[in-house]
Amino acid sequence: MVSIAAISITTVIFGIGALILASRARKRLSPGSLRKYIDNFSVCLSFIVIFSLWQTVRSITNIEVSLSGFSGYPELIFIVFAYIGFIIASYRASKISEEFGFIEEGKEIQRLVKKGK
Amino acid sequence: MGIKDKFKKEVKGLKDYIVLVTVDAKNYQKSNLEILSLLVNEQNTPGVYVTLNKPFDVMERLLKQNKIDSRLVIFIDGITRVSENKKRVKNCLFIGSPEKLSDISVAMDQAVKALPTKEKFIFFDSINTLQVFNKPGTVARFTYFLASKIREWKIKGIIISIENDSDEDLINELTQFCDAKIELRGNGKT
Repeated sequence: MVSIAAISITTVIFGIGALILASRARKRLSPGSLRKYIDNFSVCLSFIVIFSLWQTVRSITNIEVSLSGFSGYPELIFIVFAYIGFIIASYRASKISEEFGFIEEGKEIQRLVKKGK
Repeated sequence: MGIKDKFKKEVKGLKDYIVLVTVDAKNYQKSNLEILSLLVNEQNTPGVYVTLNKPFDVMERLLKQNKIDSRLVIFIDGITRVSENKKRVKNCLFIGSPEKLSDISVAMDQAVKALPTKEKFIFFDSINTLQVFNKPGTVARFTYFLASKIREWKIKGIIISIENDSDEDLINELTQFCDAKIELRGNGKT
């Protein structure tokens, strides 16, 4: 029981640490695609941290919480939200790669340079 | 001595370099095009052109008019305002604003690394526009970042600054990082 609580608390500390790092990274960036991606990532991370925090409190205090008939593990809602957030973040990452990816253009340019020599 | 000759003379013997080119407003366009023509047409070097002054379509037209092969250049346009879903055409990325320095940095890094040739250049046009849209400290940090990145990438770097319109302290600071400073003024002569 004690070891589970210790692991849970450590997990929450790591999660909060990750959120602080992401927030510092965000502050250093000017507005744009990268900052939006960090926003998405932070939202997902927040849901996971809330989930872990909820579980930690529950495992320490043995409190049973029921939310509108969802009596088993209401904290799972946060995991669902986190996954929705991950889908959005992954979509944004794919858009960023479409915008910032120049690999195909690079290959074409290499072909043209070789032709020009 | 013409612009091309002056440029060639200053970078003679240098494989990779950072050159700060200060031009007067009258000479600005001609200087840019002549340096580009030297790099792209004469030296067959591909590169990245960061434009913060003229929109991509204007640049493309100018290159065509001056018979400079625009297919060898990846453009990063920081001045044209575009909608979220129209940020990219074949060889140009529209950043949307010169304030988005993080996006400009990422785009430059990706574009330079995507060029698989040994010889390549980055043409930054210009420092002055950055100063209009950003705080002096931010511009100073960005120019330092740009200079150190050009060294890291081991490529040719050309940074344009328009005379009488720039922060003297910034230019002096930037000159320290550059291998040469070329001043171009008056009727295309140096």
